[in-house]
Amino acid sequence: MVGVGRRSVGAGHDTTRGPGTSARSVWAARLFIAVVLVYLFAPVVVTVLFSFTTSRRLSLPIEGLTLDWYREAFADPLFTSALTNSLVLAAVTAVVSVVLGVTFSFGLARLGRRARGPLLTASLLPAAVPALVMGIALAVFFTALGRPPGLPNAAIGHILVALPFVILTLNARLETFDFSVTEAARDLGASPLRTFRDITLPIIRPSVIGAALLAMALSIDEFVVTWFTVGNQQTLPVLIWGLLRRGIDPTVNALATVVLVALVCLVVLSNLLSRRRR
Amino acid sequence: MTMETSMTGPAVRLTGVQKRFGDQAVLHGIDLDVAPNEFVSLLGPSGCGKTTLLRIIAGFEQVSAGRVEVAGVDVTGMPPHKRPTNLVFQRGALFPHMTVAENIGYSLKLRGWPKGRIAARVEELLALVRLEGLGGRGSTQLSGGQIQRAALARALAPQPTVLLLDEPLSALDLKLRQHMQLELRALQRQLAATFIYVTHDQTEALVMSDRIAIMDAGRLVQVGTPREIYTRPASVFASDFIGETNLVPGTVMEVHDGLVTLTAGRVTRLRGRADSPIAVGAAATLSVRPEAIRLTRSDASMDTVPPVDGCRGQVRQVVYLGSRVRVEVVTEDGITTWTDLREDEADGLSADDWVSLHWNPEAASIWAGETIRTEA
Amino acid sequence: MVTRLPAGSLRQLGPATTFYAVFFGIPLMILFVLSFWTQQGFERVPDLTLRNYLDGLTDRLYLQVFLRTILVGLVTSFIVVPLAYVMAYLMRFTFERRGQLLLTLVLISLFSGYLVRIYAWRTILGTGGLLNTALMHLGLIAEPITALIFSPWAVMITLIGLLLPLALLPIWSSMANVSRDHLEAARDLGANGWRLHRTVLLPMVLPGVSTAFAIAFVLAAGDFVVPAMVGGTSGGTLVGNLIANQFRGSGADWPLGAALAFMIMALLVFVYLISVRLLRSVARW
Repeated sequence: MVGVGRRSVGAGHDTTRGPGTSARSVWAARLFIAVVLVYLFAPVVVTVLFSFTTSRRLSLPIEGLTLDWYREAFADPLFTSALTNSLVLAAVTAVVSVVLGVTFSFGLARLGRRARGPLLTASLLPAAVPALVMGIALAVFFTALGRPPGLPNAAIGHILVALPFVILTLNARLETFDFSVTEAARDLGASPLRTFRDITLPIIRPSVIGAALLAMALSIDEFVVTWFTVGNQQTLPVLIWGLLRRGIDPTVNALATVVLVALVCLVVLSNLLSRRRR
Repeated sequence: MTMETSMTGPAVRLTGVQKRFGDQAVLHGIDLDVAPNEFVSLLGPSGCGKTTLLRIIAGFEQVSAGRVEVAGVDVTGMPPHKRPTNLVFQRGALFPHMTVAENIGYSLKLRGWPKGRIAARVEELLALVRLEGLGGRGSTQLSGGQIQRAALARALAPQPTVLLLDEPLSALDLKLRQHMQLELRALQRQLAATFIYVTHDQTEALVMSDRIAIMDAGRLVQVGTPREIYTRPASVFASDFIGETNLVPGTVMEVHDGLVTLTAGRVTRLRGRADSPIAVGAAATLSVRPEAIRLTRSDASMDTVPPVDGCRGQVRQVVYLGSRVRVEVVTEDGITTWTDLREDEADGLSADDWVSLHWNPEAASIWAGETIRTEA
Repeated sequence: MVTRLPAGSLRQLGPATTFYAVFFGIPLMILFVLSFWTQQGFERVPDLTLRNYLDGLTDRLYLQVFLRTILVGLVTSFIVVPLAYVMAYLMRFTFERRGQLLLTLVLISLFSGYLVRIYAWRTILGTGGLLNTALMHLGLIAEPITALIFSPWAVMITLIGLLLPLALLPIWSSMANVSRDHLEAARDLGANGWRLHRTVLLPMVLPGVSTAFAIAFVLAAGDFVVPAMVGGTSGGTLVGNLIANQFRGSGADWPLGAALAFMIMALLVFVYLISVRLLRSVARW
């Protein structure tokens, strides 16, 4: 990192700040960041807050605090099946997208720069198509195959959604991977498989786990593609959507908070692991 | 597998090895025998194909044509993990998630050695490369020199028939590099092992090798002992690449018993030995090492007869190099030459002094052709 | 030189490529073929007609919705991308030491639940929602502002919140390659303020900005959940809702939905290309 903690002594001005920074513009910048953060986190705060309030109506002032909505949500058999389904989908998505993503990224790493760029871009394409279009395309596809909607179809959709991000994460890791260590292992007598098990995988493990957690987060949060492929089955977002259509119900806030906590944990962990190198 | 192999043939035999990447030819038919217990350096500028050749012997690259034999066995299509060769990588390529000891013992673990035996062997190797007590270190806790020692121990652990080294010292600073060169050489003698060493550093090749194979543009230019290569370079390229030299283009005036006299410019007559046939009247290039030239002071007058062996010129500058003094002389015909003298020989010499240059014709080499490599 | 893929590389690229081909390529192709079929009652009849496309182009309601979708997409992304640019700049250069923390916060907000955030905005903007009750409590307004929810504005407010983190990431990562020295050199040469950005920084991070714009625009114009939840039935409908309605619910018409999907995608690509060209002409010396 450039210039961290670099100070021009006695000049009374912090050189780590951007060019042309005055005290007033620093305050303006702080205000700007504060407003953006409030904008980003207002929905989160509202959801969490109202999952604990007694009033059925979501409005101010707050009358009292309760855990009733959580009790109600967890007592609902629909919730437990939605939770189970979401977790199963997340696990399947993580495993399959990571296996596909790891092999693909290694294939990419072996290529020359000229072939790698276009292939990487192509592999990210599903992330650039609106989820709606992917959802209807998969719905039509499975109908054409004569497969009824259900969890397996949704799993395919989730893998499709997660795979580009898994590839992006692993590709970034492999760009700094020193392939001479795998050659060294081969040279010392390890078969290709053994080399992968003993050398490659342990070295890239943090990034692989990071990518898996990211895939789980994407899967748990996925609604649009799921909605078109899952049929009458429940996942957490599908359940939340159904409850929302029925009108305001504070149990939704409880459900949403559960999802939110799970996602935040996954993403923070993933971010920490992906950034750890060597 | 043991080192004291009862090999009668060469440790490595390369026959007509060719390599193409796409439609670009990198190696044009390499033939080379490396004897058991020999230290051979593959020396050449970057891009000459030396590393590719080493990787072909290790099994990381496949030949486009030709044969690779190790200890009499054809290994041409064999994958690297089945070959009795081991490679020391340029930057060590230590496994970052293992300790030094685990790195060194890895090949033995793969061969199913029991733990105790591995530990004993690792200790032995750590002592051999002078890393005693550092077996528990992680590879990120080592200095550059220690990394290369550990990498060397790791490659020696399975007792390879041939040890391959890919510029293992190039990342080290000069002092450490010089020290490691001598150490590596001593180690090779002690183990009586076969080493093939890739380098672009001619000093390194001279210091360590039994024989040097000079490569240029995918071909072997000359193979010989350091002494042969230094004193009788086979080409302009070899003479320029190994050591320092003065290259003078000229025209062949007279050939007598392998001794050639060149004319260069108006009055300059130069003599040297040609190992290959050369015709009178042909263009030729003479190479003479700076330390082979003797300087004698001469008078400024132009009317004295020029010396028979050599030429006359004026000192442009005198450069002090510590152990010796380098003198730049521009001859009457405008040819720039460098001469290395002992300090006492150069005593009192200064710019604009007139001098005569002489050398023993046997110490100068002449080849047909005018090609002079400009320094990169 | 001929670029040939090594055999091992092909083996490794194979599985994911096959997955993409089967579950991404083929479904899109089927959808495309379907867009030329016709729906008769509950039957989908194989056909080769452009009627679905013509319907989409001639129906006044559809045209209105198309236009609104593009407008919402453009306005949203022209707000989101500059906001993301300024935010990324401040994170990278002004508050560098807090940059990582801010980035983590942005990531957390990105993954704080897609549906959850949309729903939360509904509770904030609704007639009996937080904003209205708070304003009434403070005595600033007597009656709730009904226009807050179920309007294109509500759709855009929600979309901006959803898309800002996504637009920020590519801009941030391309700014990571710009060193402070570049900016200081530019300032040294007399470029300041707007000129510094237009002539130095923006051209350097243009790939990131274009990506951010593409993400924001495509996701805004392609969304159907936001308009369904906060857009209301009349004023806030986007093409996404029209398409979604053709696939779930009564009166489904898959071929029409497929045609609408390809029309909006073509339109998105077209508008995106024009916008990027405009952007490029701004970011120049």
